[in-house]
Amino acid sequence: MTIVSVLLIASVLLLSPRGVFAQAGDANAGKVVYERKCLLCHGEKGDGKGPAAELLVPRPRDFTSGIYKIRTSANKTPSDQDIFNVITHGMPGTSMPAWDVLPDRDRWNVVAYVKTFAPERFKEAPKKLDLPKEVSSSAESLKRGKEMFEAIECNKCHGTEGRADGPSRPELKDEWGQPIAPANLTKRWNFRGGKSRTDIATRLAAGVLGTPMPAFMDSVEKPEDIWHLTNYLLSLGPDDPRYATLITASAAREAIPDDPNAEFWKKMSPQNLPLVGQVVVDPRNFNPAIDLVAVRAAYNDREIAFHLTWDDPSESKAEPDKKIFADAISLQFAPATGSGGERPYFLMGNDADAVYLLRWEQGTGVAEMTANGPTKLQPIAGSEATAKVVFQNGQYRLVIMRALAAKDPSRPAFRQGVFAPIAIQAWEGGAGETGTRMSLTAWYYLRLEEPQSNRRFVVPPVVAVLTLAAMLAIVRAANRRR
Amino acid sequence: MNVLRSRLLHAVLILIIAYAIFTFAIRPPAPRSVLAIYMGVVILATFVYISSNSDSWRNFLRPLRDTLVQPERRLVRLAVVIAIPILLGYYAYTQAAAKAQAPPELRAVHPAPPASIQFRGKEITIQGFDNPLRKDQANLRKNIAAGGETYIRNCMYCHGDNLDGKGHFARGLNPPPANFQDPGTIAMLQEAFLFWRIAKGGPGLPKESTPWNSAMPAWEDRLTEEQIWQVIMYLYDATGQQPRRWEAS
Repeated sequence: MTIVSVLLIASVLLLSPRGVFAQAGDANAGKVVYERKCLLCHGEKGDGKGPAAELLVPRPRDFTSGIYKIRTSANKTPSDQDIFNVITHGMPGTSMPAWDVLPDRDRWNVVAYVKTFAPERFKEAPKKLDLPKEVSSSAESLKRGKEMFEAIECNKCHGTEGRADGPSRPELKDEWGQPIAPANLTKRWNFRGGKSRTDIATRLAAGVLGTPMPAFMDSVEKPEDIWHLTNYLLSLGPDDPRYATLITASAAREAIPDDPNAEFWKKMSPQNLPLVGQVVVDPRNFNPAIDLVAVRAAYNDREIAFHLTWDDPSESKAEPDKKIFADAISLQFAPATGSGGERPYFLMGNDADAVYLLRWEQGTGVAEMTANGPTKLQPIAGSEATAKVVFQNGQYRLVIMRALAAKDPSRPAFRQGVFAPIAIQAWEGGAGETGTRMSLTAWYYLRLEEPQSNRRFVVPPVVAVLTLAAMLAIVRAANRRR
Repeated sequence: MNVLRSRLLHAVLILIIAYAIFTFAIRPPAPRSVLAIYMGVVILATFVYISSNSDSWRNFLRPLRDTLVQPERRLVRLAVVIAIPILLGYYAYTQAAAKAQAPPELRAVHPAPPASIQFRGKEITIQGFDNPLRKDQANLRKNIAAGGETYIRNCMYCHGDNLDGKGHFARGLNPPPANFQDPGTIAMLQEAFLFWRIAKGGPGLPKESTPWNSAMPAWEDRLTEEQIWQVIMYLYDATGQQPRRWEAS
């Protein structure tokens, strides 16, 4: 075998096309796959009333309605490829997972089968949606996009800065009368139909059927405004949450500001943690409102400060008769790390082992507490923690401060260079979250970084100089031998 | 054709192609340490190939030596002598400036089960015990369907619709939820072992081989004995795995 043929085989292996071409599926074969994989949510009759339906927000799709959210068509009929793409990539931010684990054939068969639930809808052929000519992003385009964002009233549902906190939010209902939350435009990894430029422009142009999101193709002034809007939406948040695996507290030489909007905190990059629903203890929380908390942390020789940022559409204080509770967040630590890295139970400890909490609550402020489980919280007398909060356009920014040293054994001391367990719990009181109805993280680690040493500026030049000397020696030796 | 016969080019091409195949063609991706071993073997084999006879060896060395000594290659030589120290210096910088990584969560994958457990005040044998619902062949499908319902209402959020441990809460949990499709999980375990782990969850893990960080709830408070055996049947049915049998003693 020659080198050329090896190269050819390798390039064929690496470059083989991954694209999938539309195939006509077999509805009968699709039924078998559907009943194994889809039935428990979407129901035997395709009406979205499977046994899991009542626990899910948003609810599973009712295929008998023939209403499809994600379309690349200008009319109400989705193309087969549209349905195939949703099955393949799932619906980010919902309970619909990506079924790319199934063979292509199975997925095309399922497409054919779900279409049989609403044969009327598919009598009309999908009409291809033509997007206007693409406009790339620029300062002018962003300016125009922002103008359009306000002109066509995106902010009424999605909020001034896109955090799903617009004034219409409480009234929004879907086709089936279920309350529906607007998309948080700063978290586009949760966009149902995908987060690429074309995906977003298509959603804007064609709308999302069955939801209050209309098609905007005809309400923008000029067709290319769709792209200006797309560019603006893309500027609202990061592409990816880049979840952290470790929380690092930076060493600060100066005093740490307690103002959450201070320049000091803005310069620090966020360490994002994903939060999940609490499903261990009743009442459980299958659809948590807060799914991400961004942590920044700093310490100096006297105190340690945690800067927390999370999205919450409404600032709520306790009004139990309206089923509204105080928004709250707590940072959880282990009072003392045992030998062998043993930690208390991640869900706020248990009867045997307590955890230490820095718990902040809307209206009452921050308190130091110990907990022996999610319902057994005990404030520590003489709490020394302080906090300052800002709520702005659907976002909380909170700074919690405490002394670095511990006064007694119920409080942990924070030490440099140690991996100390840390976890977070959060409550969106406006969505009825309180007590065990929370979102939380499992244990992570917090590390107080040692002040930067100069090693990284000394070692590399030494390595480079030594290598240079070795290289010169080799060249000389080679020339001498000649 | 002369260029194509160069042993140096052969060696470089073999290494690039091998690296590309190891990196892109192995799915799921192999860990870096394994890649390093594979590449080590390939480098060794390449040296055997180029040094198989002295002509070949000389052919391999010639371009290298030319670069070092030939007057007309001065510019290339200068570039190499400058570039290599800079590259190594940069590598040293990335190593010296490396940030701390979270310590790994070490754990025993399948801890030894207890001989028996207390289930809502009733003693249930674990060691050597079989799923009692398996004997009821007539209701097999009914039990599996009921298990599926229990699964989707309780377990799916972490373990996933596809039972692959990729439910929507999975990304927030460390250690990640068990992947039942993986042949290293339920296929290696007896049904009674699963009963113990489902009933007692993370809090019921044995004291040895700590620290645990399992977020698995103890389901004995919420599910009945029958529901747990049904879920277990569903897990095996939906993944196509077979439960392990107890060794006859």
